[in-house]
Amino acid sequence: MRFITLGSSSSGNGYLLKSTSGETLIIEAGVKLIEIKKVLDFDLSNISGCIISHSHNDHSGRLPQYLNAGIRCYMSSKTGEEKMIDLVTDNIQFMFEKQSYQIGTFRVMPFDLKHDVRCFGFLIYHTECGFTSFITDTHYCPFVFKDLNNILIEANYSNDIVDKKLLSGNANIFVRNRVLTSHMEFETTKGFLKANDLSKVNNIVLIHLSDGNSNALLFKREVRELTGKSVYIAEKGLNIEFNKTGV
Amino acid sequence: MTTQKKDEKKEQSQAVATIQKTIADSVLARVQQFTANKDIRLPADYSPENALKSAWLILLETVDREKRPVLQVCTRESIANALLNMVLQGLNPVKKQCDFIAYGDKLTLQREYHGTIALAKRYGNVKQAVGTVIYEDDEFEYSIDQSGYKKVTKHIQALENIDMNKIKGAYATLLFETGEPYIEIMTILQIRQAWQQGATKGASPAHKNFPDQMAMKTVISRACKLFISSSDDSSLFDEGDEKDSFAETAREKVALGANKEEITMDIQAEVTNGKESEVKEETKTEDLSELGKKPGF
Repeated sequence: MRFITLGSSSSGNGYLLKSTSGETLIIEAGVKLIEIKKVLDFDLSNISGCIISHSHNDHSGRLPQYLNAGIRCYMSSKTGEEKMIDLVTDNIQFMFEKQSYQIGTFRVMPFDLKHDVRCFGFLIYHTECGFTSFITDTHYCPFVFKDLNNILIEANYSNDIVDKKLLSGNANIFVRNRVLTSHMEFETTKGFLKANDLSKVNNIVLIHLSDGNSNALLFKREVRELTGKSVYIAEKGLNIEFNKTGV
Repeated sequence: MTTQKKDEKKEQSQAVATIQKTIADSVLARVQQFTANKDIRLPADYSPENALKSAWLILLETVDREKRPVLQVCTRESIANALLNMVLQGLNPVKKQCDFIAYGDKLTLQREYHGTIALAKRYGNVKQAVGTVIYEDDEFEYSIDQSGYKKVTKHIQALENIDMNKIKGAYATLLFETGEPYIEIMTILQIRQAWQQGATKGASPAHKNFPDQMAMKTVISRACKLFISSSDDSSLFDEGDEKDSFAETAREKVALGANKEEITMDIQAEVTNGKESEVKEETKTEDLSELGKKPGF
């Protein structure tokens, strides 16, 4: 299994899980289809589907494009409602919280997160990458998971940086207050990692880092020190081995 | 014989060390329990752990008038109380902000000059405390306004005027973040009278050799005391408390809601996606059919 980042910021989110057979699960529909085509050598026949967390455009803005390309897209009915007033298509599959869905050889279970619109996180299972959590755009994650093998989790901002910006007058209090309850603070990210059993975890990827309010190097170092795992920052172009074990 | 004596002494001091360690630890545990329950609030910039650890080291060396270690002479309760007193005032013995003094079998905490200034800064909003000595031949004038506040209107001092034997008085200037400075003036007579209250009656080498420094200390202490005793505890509360309730609520939500429920996915079980779950959607009152947005047909 490979984990590929096409984008992981408010300008567009998109990730691929690509198995050794080439079968691909797309996570989020926030980057142009051409970016996916480039990575998959313009062969879209092996795409099993695309799972979408919520209706904000940086996560679902390219949805019409993906649907037109014949990619089956999975989301909550609320997200569907918010997205596609005029769209009626065969290629949309609504998901219910805590029910499992078989997407090719991937199995996916959505769970509700804490964003300012309805937002799903996903527990993904594949024989190659094992249990993988995908958690983004949330104040916190209400859940812990059993037997995780890989973790994709938001580390959006740090209070220190936000507070400093606020004090120096470089931030808007309203924007800051919105961020505070709709994105994951770094301490909350670490709290999630502490609360879960990491004994089987192979990789931890920190995703959706805010451009101005995060510190990638510091976050990476602290999580590595905390967990002792391979830690990555999701940046465009990140393409890593993503298996159950490091071997 | 001598080795035996040595051993005894060693054992004794080890025993003392252990007693004190347990006292310091139990005080720390109590302080932590108090702060956790919000029974007490400590200044944000104060580390009770550091202060207690250093107090422990200092107490090991502290003796009473008969040169006996205070840890042997003083009661456990009085030691614990002295330490707790130190923590509640937010003082640190390493910074010479306080001293431990044994009276009989009671250990007491005495706030020192630096502690007085630290508290005036912390509680009394004092930004800086400056002491100035007035010598004979200085040109010194001050006025008292209607509300009784003093103001130094003139103080010209020539270098030649500085003479340890010609001290006329001293004054302290307390500067605040905002507002006029506060002035406290004492004559040398008043200062010497204050020294009479002390253990050495103003006859210590420090008082004899550096009366200017001691006079400044005396007048600064007097000025600061007023602001410590008349202060409220507002400095113990974070300034941001009111302002930043939003951040506080956000943090509380995380504490209450994060990482609570364990979920897992049964990878052996049959799954219900496809047409089947779409049927479910209809029964699950998602109002999509009404809106004509039902997909999948």
